[in-house]
Amino acid sequence: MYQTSQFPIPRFLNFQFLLNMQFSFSRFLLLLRKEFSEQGRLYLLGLGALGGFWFVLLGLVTFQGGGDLDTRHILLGLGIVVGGTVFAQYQFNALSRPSQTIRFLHLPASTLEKTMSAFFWCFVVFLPAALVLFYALDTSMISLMRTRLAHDPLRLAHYEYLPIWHLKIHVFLFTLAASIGVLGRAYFRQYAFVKTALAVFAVFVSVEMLFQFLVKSWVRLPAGGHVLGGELFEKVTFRLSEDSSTDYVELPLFWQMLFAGIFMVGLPILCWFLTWLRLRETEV
Amino acid sequence: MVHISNISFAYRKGKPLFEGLDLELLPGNVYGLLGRNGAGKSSLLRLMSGLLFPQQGSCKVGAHVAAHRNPTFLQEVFFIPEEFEFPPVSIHEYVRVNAPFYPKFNMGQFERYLQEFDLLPQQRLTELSHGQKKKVITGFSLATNASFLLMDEPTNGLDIPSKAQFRRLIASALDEGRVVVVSTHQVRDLDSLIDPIIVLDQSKILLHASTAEIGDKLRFFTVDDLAEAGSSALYSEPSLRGHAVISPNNGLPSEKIDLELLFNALLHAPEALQKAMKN
Repeated sequence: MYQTSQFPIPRFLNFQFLLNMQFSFSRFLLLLRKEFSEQGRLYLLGLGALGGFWFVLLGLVTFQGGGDLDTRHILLGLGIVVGGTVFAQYQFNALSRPSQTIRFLHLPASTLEKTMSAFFWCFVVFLPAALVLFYALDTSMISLMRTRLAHDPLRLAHYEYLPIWHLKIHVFLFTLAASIGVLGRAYFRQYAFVKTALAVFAVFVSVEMLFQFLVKSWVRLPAGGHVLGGELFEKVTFRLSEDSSTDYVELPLFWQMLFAGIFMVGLPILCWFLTWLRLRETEV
Repeated sequence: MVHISNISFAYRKGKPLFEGLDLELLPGNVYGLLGRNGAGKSSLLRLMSGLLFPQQGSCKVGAHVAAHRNPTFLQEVFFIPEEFEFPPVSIHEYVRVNAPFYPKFNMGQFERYLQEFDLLPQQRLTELSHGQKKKVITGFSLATNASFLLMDEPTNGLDIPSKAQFRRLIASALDEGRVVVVSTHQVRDLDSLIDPIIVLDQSKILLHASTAEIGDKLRFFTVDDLAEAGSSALYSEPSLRGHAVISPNNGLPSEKIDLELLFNALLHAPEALQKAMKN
């Protein structure tokens, strides 16, 4: 039995409490069906709005802006990060109002099942749907332009199809944005999107400042040399004297990959784990 | 059974709402949880339903610790808050996707409740009035056949005929294995339904007794002149017919228990009433 003591420890550190984690596949499917029934129309509308955003801007870039590849990349990234964060935050939108929070918390399913349902909607439904939508729009516009410019090989060369292998950075950005998005929604009841953005900005600035401070304090150089700065988990740039050229020292590739892996995989996992904990602890 | 043991709870440090509260609720009863605004009625219901966690002590509902909010616990406990929201779907669709979460849900029962409340399955939930929504959620909660039904101000927003329907429905749905707890400050709406009575005030339980026990210990009567009430009167207040009085029951004929009068008496003269109940 869960019981607090005179010196209460956090509930999530209560081993017994962690053992109560339950997952039933049939209840998970029921949750997906319920979500589709109650929010499916809204999700389709949201996807339609994202499609509209891409349609207009891709149209401008393709038909009037010369089909610049980088701009189309940015449009994909922007849509998927902002759209993904909004979508992810909507998964726990019930937490924004007590009357809905009660309905959400009291639905007979475990917190793990509810969290996994949100994960499913973000990564199995939204992400593929948004990517297919973007590529369908982009490919058809580029195809149309290429057909029109078939006689002009010089201009035709500018209208390249977006390479599919470029997707990995967008998938990573989406994973990070959606994971931070759900965590933000679980923590902030009101104005979750704005507060999450501010919190992320604050954490990012703090980590960057701390890193620069540590690099400049710890790295010792011969007299006259000074550290110019660094890139987190990657390299430190320095000059040995005022008139020498800028040089840098890098972390070995293994460590770079390890830190990148921790950041790209570990951080989203941590966000979802914290979301699960937060939902378990939510009171209303 | 609901077993609350030595519960302490506070929304803010240094401002306890409950301290060392003990309470036991037995199946086969419709408990009336009465109290002023802010007395802690809703909080107590939320502690029982696992929506709030006690800082100390434990709250067990059936075999479950409420605060764990395990799915099996949630299948057995249905909590109807005072304010609630429905998704933008029809009644039929709502039931289609929500009922499977409750293993004991009875569709035939739910359809009967809808008929009784003059509601149609194809009506959209967002287009219903507050009272109609209450009817839907009440019907749904009863059809889940959950063993513990916790209702916060269930008659708020219901019109007079609907209140009677509500009472009838709850009375008909009560069986020996079910605990119903109704929190209300509108005692007159439910005085024929609720038994036993629990009165909360200033974080304490002032009274927890069945109507039979109250009738045994207290006498309710009306006098034209307060002097007629005698020195044994524990509490009196002006009424349309003179003065409504509560005194210890000394065998003289008593009127029907007036819950509102009892409630007021407990708030104004708690010690005298509690002493009379103990004798």
